[in-house]
Parts: sequence; structure tokens; C-alpha cells
Amino acid sequence: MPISLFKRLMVPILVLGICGLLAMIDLWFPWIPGLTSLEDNLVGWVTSIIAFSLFVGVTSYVTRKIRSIRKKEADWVFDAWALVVIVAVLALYMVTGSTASAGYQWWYRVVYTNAGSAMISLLGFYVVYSAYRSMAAKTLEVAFMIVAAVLVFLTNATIGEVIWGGIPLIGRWILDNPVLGVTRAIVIAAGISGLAMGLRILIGREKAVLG
Amino acid sequence: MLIAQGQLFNFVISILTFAAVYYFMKMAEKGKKIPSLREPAALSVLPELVGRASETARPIHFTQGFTGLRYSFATATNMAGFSILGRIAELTVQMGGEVYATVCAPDSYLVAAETIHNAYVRAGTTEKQPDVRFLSDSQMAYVSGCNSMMMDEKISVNVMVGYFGAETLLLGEGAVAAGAIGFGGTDVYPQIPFLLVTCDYVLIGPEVFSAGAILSKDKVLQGALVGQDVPSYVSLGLLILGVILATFGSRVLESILRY
Repeated sequence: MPISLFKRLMVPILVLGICGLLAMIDLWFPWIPGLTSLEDNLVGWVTSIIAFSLFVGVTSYVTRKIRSIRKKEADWVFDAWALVVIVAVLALYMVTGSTASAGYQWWYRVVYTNAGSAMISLLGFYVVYSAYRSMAAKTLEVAFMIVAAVLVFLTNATIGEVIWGGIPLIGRWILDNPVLGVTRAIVIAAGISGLAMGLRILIGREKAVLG
Repeated sequence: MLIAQGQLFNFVISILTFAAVYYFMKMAEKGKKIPSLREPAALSVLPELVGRASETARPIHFTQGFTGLRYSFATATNMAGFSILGRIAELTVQMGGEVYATVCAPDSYLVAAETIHNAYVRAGTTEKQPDVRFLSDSQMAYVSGCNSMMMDEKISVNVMVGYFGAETLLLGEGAVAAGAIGFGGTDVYPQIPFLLVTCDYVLIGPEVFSAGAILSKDKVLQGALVGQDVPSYVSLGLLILGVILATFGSRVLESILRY
């Protein structure tokens, strides 16, 4: 096997396999000396790697914005504005030296939080539209689902008990029996499938990701 | 005690799963006959969806939602999602289409890019560059950016397979507004109804983990899927036994499972 191919395929699989094995052994045999601290170290490394990957994410974002501005793509002005904001916030942090400073907190409280709230409010319309579409009872199964949904909705909204005392009983029965049964089936089957998938990745058989 | 308190059943079922999966993979590798698999209905249409996207010259969008790989509870599901992304990327090369992935977590950026790159290489091209876009690590800002992109670029198919949270309905509905076909999959049971409402095809629970292996047509990987049915049948047997014992007032099985 050429060395580049060895590095590319075998090294990631070996690292994955050893780390995964250590995590599993620590879960089942935590009394083995030094294993828990080694596992804690591995988790610390994951945090460091993820923090570093943020640079890659930001680089991708900035590169894409610069490309959009250079090619004068649609709405490139907003891309330019996004870059200005990134630089401004970075400068604000570097000048004040802390995210706890009054200037940074002002930006966070007055701009970021409000912009976030506005975003959620706008996206709320999608929820309403989706709920409206899902109420179109095209088949018998959907009709059953809607009846169950309305009963559970009325159970949780408390007004159901005022309308008729039996509604909360039916709603609770739906949640505690058919819903719970199906949920457990999905959770158990997904758990086993996840384990099998983990093994496929650990032994390097899941080639879609590793190549 | 040798095994940690409360982990004995976990240990046994894990070892059983590993042994069964490994055994059937080896059987398949040696060319021995293994039971055939039922392909999930939603999965069989995926090549057709990629073909349709290629014919209409509109891109396919792939998303995994907000979690990425940084949360241990979401890693397995998202890795399964990447497996599907890889197969889609391979199909786009074969059919002449385009796929791009948007990510919310920077750690997913690298894995998504590597997955698409590997798929392109497997499909026989080294010229195409993976198109992965990091939008934001803020949940609602990510959704907003995603929806905007889906509409601007008039995507053909929106593939959302992974570990989703509150963004499921918003992303799915964004794709509907963009006129795209929705293909979803998750094992997060509170989010499954949202996928069913907004997507045309949905993979439910374990189907998400099997999808990549089924799409690959790789006999060894399909052997692994047969193997994971062994612990599933054991779980089913335990469920039935548990129901019978509980009906007669015995909690023996519960005690064993908690040991």
C-alpha cells in the first residue's frame, strides 16, 4: 500500500478505532487505572479540535462573501454588510479586550438579541403555514392523525377538560399507549442500528465518510 | 464487580450486536448466502430524485440541522446522514447534477467537504470541488440563511437527514416554499412528525442508519445490516417476555436489565 494511501485511509481508521475502543472500555470498566483521565483528555482534545474548526467555518463564510462581492452576485450589498459587521464585532472585542465589557455587552444586548428575536418571529410564519397544510385530511390515515392531534392538543390546552371531561383521559391514553409504544420501538431499533453503524465506522467499512 | 454498575445489559447487547454484525459481514465477504434485505420505500426513490434534479439543472441541498458532530448524542445520526450525502454526491457525478451542503456547526464543515470529495473521487472525478457552506452557528440565523438560499437557487430536492431540533419544521417548510421535493430522515422521535408533514419521503429511526449501506449496494455492508437484526430480535423477545412477566406481577426482567 503506498504511504499516502496508508496515511489517508489507515491512520484515521486507527485513530477512530483506538479512541472509540477506549471510550467503550471506560464506560464498562471504569476501575482500570488511568483510563478515566485518558478519556477526559480525549474529550478535551475534541473540544480543541472543534474550536479550531471554527476558523475553517469562518474562513469558508468570508471567502464565499468576498466571491459574491467580487462577482456582484444578487444581493451582494448584504454580503458586504455581513463582512463589515464581522470586522466591526472583532474590532470591538479586540479594543475592549473582553466579551464582558460594556461596549461588547451593548452590541450583544441591543443588536444581536433583537436581531435573533426578529429572526424567530419571521420564521414563526412557516410553522403556521405548515400546520395549515398538515390539516388537509387527504387520506383516512391523515384524518385519524388529525383527530388524535386535536385531542392531544385539547388535553394539553386545559380548555379540553372544560369542553368535556373525557378529552384529557383520551388524550393521556393516546400519549401513554400508542405514542409511547411506537416511540420505544423507534428508540430501541435506532439504538441498535447506531451501535452497528459505530462498528462499521470503527473498522473502516463505512467508506462514504472515510473514503 | 468487573463491569460498571448498571452497565451489564448494555455490555451484553453491545457485544452481541458487534459479534452478529461482524459474523454476517464476514459471511457476505466470503460470498456465502445471507438473507435478503427489504429496501425502505423512501430510499428507493433517491436515485430518481437525483436524476430529476440533474434533468432540471437545479441543485440538491443537504442539511443536518443545528447539532453537527460536537454533541455525542447526535454524532451517530449525523454520521449516518453523511453516509447518505456521500451516496448522493456519487449519484450527482454519474447523472451530471449538483449537490451542496450547508452546515451550522463548523466541525461538520470539514467532514461534509471530505465526504463529498471522497464521493467525487469514487465516482471517478477529481476536478469537481465540494460545495459546502458554513452559514452560522446560531440556530435561527442558520435556518433563515438556509431558507433564503433554497429559494434563491431554486433547489430541486432538499435532503435533510441527521439529528434535528427545533429547526426541522422551519427547514422543511422553507423547502416547500422553494418548490423543492423534500427527503428527510431522523431518529429523533419528536421531530419525525415534522418531517412527515414537510417531506415527501421520510426515513424513520433505524432506516437512517441503514440507508448509506443499502444505497452503496456493497454486499459486506448489507451483511452488517442483516447482523444488526439479531439483537433486534433479541430485544423483541425480551419485550414480549417483559410484557408477560409484568402482566403476572413479576419485575425479574426489569431487575436483570438494570443490573
